[in-house]
Amino acid sequence: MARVEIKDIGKVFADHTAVSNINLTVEDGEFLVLLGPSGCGKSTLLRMIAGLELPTYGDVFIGERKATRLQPKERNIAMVFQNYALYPHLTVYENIAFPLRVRSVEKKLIDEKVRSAAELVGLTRMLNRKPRQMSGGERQRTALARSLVRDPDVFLLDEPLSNLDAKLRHSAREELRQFQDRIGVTSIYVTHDQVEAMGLGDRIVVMHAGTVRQVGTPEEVYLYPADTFVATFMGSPPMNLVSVGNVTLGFRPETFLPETNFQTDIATTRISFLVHRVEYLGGDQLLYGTVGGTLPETAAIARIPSSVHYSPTVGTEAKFAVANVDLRYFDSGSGKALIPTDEEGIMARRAAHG
Amino acid sequence: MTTTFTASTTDAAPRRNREMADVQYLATRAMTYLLVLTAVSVIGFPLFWMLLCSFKPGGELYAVPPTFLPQIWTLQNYRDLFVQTNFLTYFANSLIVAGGATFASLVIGGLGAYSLSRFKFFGIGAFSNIALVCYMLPEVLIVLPLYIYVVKLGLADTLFSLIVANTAFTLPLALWFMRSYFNAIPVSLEESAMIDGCTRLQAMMKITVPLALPGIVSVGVFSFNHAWNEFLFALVFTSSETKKTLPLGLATWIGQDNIYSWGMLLAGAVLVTIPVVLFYLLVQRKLVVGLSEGGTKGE
Repeated sequence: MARVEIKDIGKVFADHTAVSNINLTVEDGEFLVLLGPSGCGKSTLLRMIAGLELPTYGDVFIGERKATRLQPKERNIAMVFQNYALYPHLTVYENIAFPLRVRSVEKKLIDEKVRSAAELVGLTRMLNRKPRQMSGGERQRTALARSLVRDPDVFLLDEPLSNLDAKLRHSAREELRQFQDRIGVTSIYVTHDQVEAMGLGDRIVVMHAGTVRQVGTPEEVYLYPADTFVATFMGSPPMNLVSVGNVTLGFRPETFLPETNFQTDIATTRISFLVHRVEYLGGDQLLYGTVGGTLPETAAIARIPSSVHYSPTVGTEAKFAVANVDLRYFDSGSGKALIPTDEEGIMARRAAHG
Repeated sequence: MTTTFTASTTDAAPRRNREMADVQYLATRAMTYLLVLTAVSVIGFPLFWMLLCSFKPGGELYAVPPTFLPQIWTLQNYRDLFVQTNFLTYFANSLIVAGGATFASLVIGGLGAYSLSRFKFFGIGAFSNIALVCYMLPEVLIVLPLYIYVVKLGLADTLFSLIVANTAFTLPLALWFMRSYFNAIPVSLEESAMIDGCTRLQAMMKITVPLALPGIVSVGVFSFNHAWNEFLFALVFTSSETKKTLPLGLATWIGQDNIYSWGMLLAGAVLVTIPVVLFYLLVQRKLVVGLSEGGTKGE
């Protein structure tokens, strides 16, 4: 077990810069998620931690050791790849045993460790199978068992759930997190799926174009996005942004509700909303439209839970509102979040969400 | 009435379909076997004839009408081969040349193909293309310039020169064929092996090579076969009797003495064929997978 420290790291390829000037500390036992759209450099960052890619500048520390130029095998890390990278010519048993065999561990000990790792992920009955005879979920568990069989210091995961179908992905996510809680090993997880990131991470690192945009707990990142990129990347549907002069107003679709829904003692900002289309999703309905009135006409989405009785009429302007505590302000030029005026309200929310 | 009628049709319809399917299946089967039989007879008969005739005494070979089975079975041809000629020397020379060329093609070609597939550095693309162009040049064209090199390097009349020349000739194909195999094996498998504790070379030997085995076997068979049958290089580069390979040695008997050398030639041809057949049988299963899968291997 170890903490990982990344100091001012960057990677420049021949034709583009993948990662630039990233500083990051992963605490011992923490589950950190690197989140970002494809091509944002998150996989490159992970590969630099793994030693598969040499940083152009900067350093990686694993534990107290400077690991920047160490070979992958000298770092005592484990990695689960997107395609699981199971060795197709070996049985599940041999796949799990591979890291131990390479280190020429004693045969009896190998058998013991492989069996306990297989039991941990529930693969005891499949040890004699080849990877191609197994389902996606079983392959993923084999990859997990293989990576944990030799007690790594750091556990790296590169989109390990993206090859599973939606239903399986959900249960695998659950299993993965329980698993990490039990083992308690420092984990760095790369994904482009914000739901996965929110569900799994102790902290989330949101990346864009090779740089870190925000580091924080899922609540912090969701409720207090550092800039407009994070605001629109997190959440589905994304945060509504309305630019008014040099300030951009942001509010989440689920906080954008009919005015009648708010109690009178709550400070709200009224916004008139012209509904173009309604999407009924069961648990809630999505209203697509444009905000208007005093604000410049901008496309926006409202998400109304089914517990709120509201039947929208398409094509008419309705009175909507957002509670002031849920409003976010961004600088229109840089996109960076502005210090909110209602400091107390923010602090109250922050305390409530921990 | 109506009910029984409908019942009987629904009952009969699937059965007739099944019968049709059976007939079609049988017909397809029969045609396939017929085709295979024809192909095997056309290709196999000369081999079979060679085998039969190698057991006939000299006179019977010229009998009119020709006999199918030998009237007198004899091993005289084989005895002559070993007693009167340097057949064993030729055979050993051929084994050394073919074995050496195969080994060199696999090692150099394998490492080269791995580099072509996994690394990117200046000139690598051009190199692989030029290698392929080299393969398009016919042997006749390169044999004389090569001969000059061989003489200047003091390698004339050595088996080593034949090994080098044969390797050079098969290397482009080996490079391209194995490269497509390595390309089809995901890099992440090796990366995973390296994280699991291997060096790059270990990862290649433990993961990539076993997975590319069908391709490697195909290349091995190809280069062995080529070097085993190779005539022109052997003719030009070697001159002494002790350095002759089988194709060259057998060819020099033709026209020497028409009376009895046919029997010996046939016996020699049988013995030349045996190692190749044995080699094919040994690697047959891997070879079939290799040639049919081509480059589309990998999960």
